[in-house]
Amino acid sequence: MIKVKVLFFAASQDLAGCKESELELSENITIGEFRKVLVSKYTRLKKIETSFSIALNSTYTRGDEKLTDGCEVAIIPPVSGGKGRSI
Amino acid sequence: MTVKIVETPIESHDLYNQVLKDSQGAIVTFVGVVRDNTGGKRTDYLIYEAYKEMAENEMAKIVDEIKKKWDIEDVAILHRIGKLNIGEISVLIAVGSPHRSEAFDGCRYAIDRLKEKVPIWKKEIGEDGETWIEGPK
Repeated sequence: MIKVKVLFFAASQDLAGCKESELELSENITIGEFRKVLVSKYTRLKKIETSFSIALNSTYTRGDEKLTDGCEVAIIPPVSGGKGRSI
Repeated sequence: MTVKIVETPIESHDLYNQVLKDSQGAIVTFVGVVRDNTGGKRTDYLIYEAYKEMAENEMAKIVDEIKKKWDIEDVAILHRIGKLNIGEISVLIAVGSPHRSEAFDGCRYAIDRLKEKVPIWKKEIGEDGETWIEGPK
């Protein structure tokens, strides 16, 4: 098993009900698999499941990257820039 | 060169001297300010939140992209987080270049990319309550 730190931002923080948590996961788990585990644990995240990105150690991921012991993953809801909307 | 998330007020001239040098013929700055409404609905104030470390990394990548695309060496970006009132500055970008065309293009690119990929979120507090604003996917 590996331990990872999970950070929640913006809407994901409201839905998860916390800013961060530590999860124990099986070794060699990919970001894509982690996404499913996360949504099954924090079911309210289903609401934004198709729109959030996941960062691994402060970098955007594609989905096939593997999580490692002690890594930091972050849930990134769509960022604030509505083109032609917010400014 | 400054690329930074800050929690204190930003002034519109804060980055000017950083991108000014003798070889520049043009400096373009972009100032993003807090508007009092969205689609006609009243906004009271905004709360900005960032994944600070990643946001600064992503902003630095945008600066690198601009340097590769244009004859531009000097780009500086500040973004404020926390509670911002109407009229306050949320983001400031300054681009210096030998010629105006590149400076305009580089500055436009910087704000568009920033809003597309830098992990900063804003919550509007106004007549509709509290809403996290989501941009395009």
